[in-house]
Amino acid sequence: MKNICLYFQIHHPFSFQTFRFFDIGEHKSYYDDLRIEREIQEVSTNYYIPTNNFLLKLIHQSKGQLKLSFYISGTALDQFLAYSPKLINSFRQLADTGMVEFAGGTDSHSIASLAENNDEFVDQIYLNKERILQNFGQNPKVFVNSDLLFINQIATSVGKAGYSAIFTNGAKKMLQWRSPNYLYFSEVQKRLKILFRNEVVSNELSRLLGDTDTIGKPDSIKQILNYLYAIKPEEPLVNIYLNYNSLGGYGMDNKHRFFRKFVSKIISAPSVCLSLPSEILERYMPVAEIGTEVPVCWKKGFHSSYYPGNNLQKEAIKHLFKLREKVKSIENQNLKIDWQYLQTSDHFHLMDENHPDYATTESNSGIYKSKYEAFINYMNILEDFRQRLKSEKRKVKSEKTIQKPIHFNQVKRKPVI
Amino acid sequence: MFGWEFPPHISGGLGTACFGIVKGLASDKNVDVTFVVPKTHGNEHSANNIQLLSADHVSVGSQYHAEWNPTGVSILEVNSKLIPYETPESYMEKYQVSGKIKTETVREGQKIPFSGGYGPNLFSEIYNYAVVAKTIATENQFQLIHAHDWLTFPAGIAAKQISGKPLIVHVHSTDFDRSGGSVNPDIFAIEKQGFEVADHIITVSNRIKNRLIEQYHIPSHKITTVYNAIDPEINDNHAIKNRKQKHKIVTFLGRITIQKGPEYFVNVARMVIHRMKNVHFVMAGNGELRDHILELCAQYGITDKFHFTGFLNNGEVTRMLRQSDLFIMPSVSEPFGIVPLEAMQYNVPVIISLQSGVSELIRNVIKTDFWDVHAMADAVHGILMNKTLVTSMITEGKQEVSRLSWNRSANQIRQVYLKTLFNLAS
Repeated sequence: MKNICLYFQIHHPFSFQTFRFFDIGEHKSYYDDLRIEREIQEVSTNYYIPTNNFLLKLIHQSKGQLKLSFYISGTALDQFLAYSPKLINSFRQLADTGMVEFAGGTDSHSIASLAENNDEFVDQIYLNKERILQNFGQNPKVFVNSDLLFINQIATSVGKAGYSAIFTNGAKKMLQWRSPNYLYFSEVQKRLKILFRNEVVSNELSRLLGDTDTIGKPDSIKQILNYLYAIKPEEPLVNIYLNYNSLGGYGMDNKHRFFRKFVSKIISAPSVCLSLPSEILERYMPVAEIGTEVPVCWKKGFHSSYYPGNNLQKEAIKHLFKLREKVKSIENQNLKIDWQYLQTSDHFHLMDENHPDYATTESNSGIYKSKYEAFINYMNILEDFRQRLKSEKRKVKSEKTIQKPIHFNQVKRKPVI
Repeated sequence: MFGWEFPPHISGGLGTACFGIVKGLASDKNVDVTFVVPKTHGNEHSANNIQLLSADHVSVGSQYHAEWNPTGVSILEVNSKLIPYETPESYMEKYQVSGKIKTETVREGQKIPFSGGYGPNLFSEIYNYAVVAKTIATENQFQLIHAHDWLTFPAGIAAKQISGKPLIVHVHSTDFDRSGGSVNPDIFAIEKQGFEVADHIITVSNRIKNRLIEQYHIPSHKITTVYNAIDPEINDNHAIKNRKQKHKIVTFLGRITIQKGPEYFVNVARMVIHRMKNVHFVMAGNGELRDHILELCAQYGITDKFHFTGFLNNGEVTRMLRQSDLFIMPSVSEPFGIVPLEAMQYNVPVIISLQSGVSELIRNVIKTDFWDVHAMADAVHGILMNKTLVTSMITEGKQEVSRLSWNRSANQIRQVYLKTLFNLAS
């Protein structure tokens, strides 16, 4: 039996607006709220809600045969909650079918896994677990790191945080001669299983879905099935990981028709089925251990310099995580939320012009003319955040010191009365 | 090749560019260059422009450049008072007083369309130069004429008419850039005529190319963009400077004219000075807006941290750049702009306006719109505050600049030559 797992990723960052150094200490918002609102409403009406409804119908029709899993980043969930609550409900409906699983991640699609100290990373993992439980009533089994980034040290932290499996990209660099279509376990954390995204099939499927001209033709379904049939019969597992927006947008009806046909072909085939990652984990034993010290992630034309990044990125990350202790020591919720959003990996991708996100991501294009401007903008925001932290701490201290004399006076007065 | 200045006697980027191009071309054994210059600035006082018509063609190549002895380049000198970046008005001011304005080129003077009271002498100079060009064209052997900027266009056209050889004009700037929009119709006419007569046009950036297409209605297939370059700096041991000085220095370098955007520099200075200590702004260069800028500084109350150096010569420019922590070129309209490249060579981070040709070529600088003083001030603050940013910009910028060379530009120019000759032959 060959198991096919379908994963869909949804992530939207809180992108920054232009933040000059004049704005430091002026209580200006960090985020480009208007644009974020517009984008979320656009994707939710033209992409996610119709596709969710389509999948819901398909799940009911397929009578328990169609199974999918989602990775939704915490920042995306926050944005849906604020600008399109309907969408959250729609995802809940999917979760209620029992055929949809939600994977966990870092709560804000964070780069915390790159910090020197893994405390923040572990915190982030627990935060996200809680949130998935709250929103969808599920305890996530599989961990999906931001951009599917993986190195051995990440495996250690993820295992400690209680996950039994991590999902990453089946890059040749890491697998070498091995096939991505088996279950592995980590060489540093024996309990932690590793699932690999099948690059060939995933890329081909997303290419077909992106090509709105040919998607309606019967050939395209044959093409993708041929890729699946080409996989050796003894290999038990094919992980297909896509961006969820590839099922929506322009030519959506054709895409849905294509997807329906694709699913029905798989269901009707004798030795193939769709499975949930948690079922895979129960059903199969890992075949071998695997690990890497060279970062692996999911990006076209991946270059090892994306992680840990160029000097600018390293500097920004270093300065960001210096503030962790201070953030821990305060209670102010606004600051805590900003602390989350500041960690989102997208901000750092903009500090590298060679990074594919730099030019391709539509929502980011045109904000910065070079990586240097992205860096300056980020550092300005970070400086503002640092000053707010400082004044918050001072406030907390002064509140404590004010309380004391009042108490003292009261004590003193009592005998007089 | 017709130019108007040649190092070391230069007053702007043009001389550097001509020098680089000639040097690059000379390194190719298949190209022989005859470079025609008007009399240089320094010798002008004794010059008498009457002799223009019978100008002796003196080869002065070895005299100018002891360290550089090219084969295949000869430099011809023509007595003339021409200097670049001169407006007819300023030309009048300077030379009318000296009383040497009467020329005997009445015959040529009649060609000037607007000869009445509006700086006729600059124009007669240009046409005198053209007359000499005719003589040169008849007396020398060549295949191709290459003229740099509008002052030499009539000369190039004249040489083309006499010899029938193809003319290539090289556009380093247009009057739209120099005047900041108030275009002199006479200059415009000369430029347009030059562009139309030319067999091919070389522009220093796509910005200028588009300007030619839009404002002068020149078909785009006739234009090729060849970016300027910079000489690799050999004796630069100043690695990452041992700048121990407490004060940070932000530099503006160039003529203080509308084109260079000095006002935006002052506005940036005001914003930064009011929020940061230990920053000093230096405006190096001279120009007609200097007094205005000085007044502006006084008005903003930043004169204690805003300094003027006056005109700097080559060595002083180098020293100034080396001392700087940041170089800004806020030009309103800069056809190319070589100075940022020099600054990058000297390990200085650079901010340039998007309205400059050089911004098409380089990546490791911060680019803003010239009017966006907020963005510029923010970049200044960011660079002065963050060491990692500076080292990243410097090292990557230097690498980038080291890949440029005049030989590459000259090679592209040679391609244009070959194409033009080929087109004519076929």
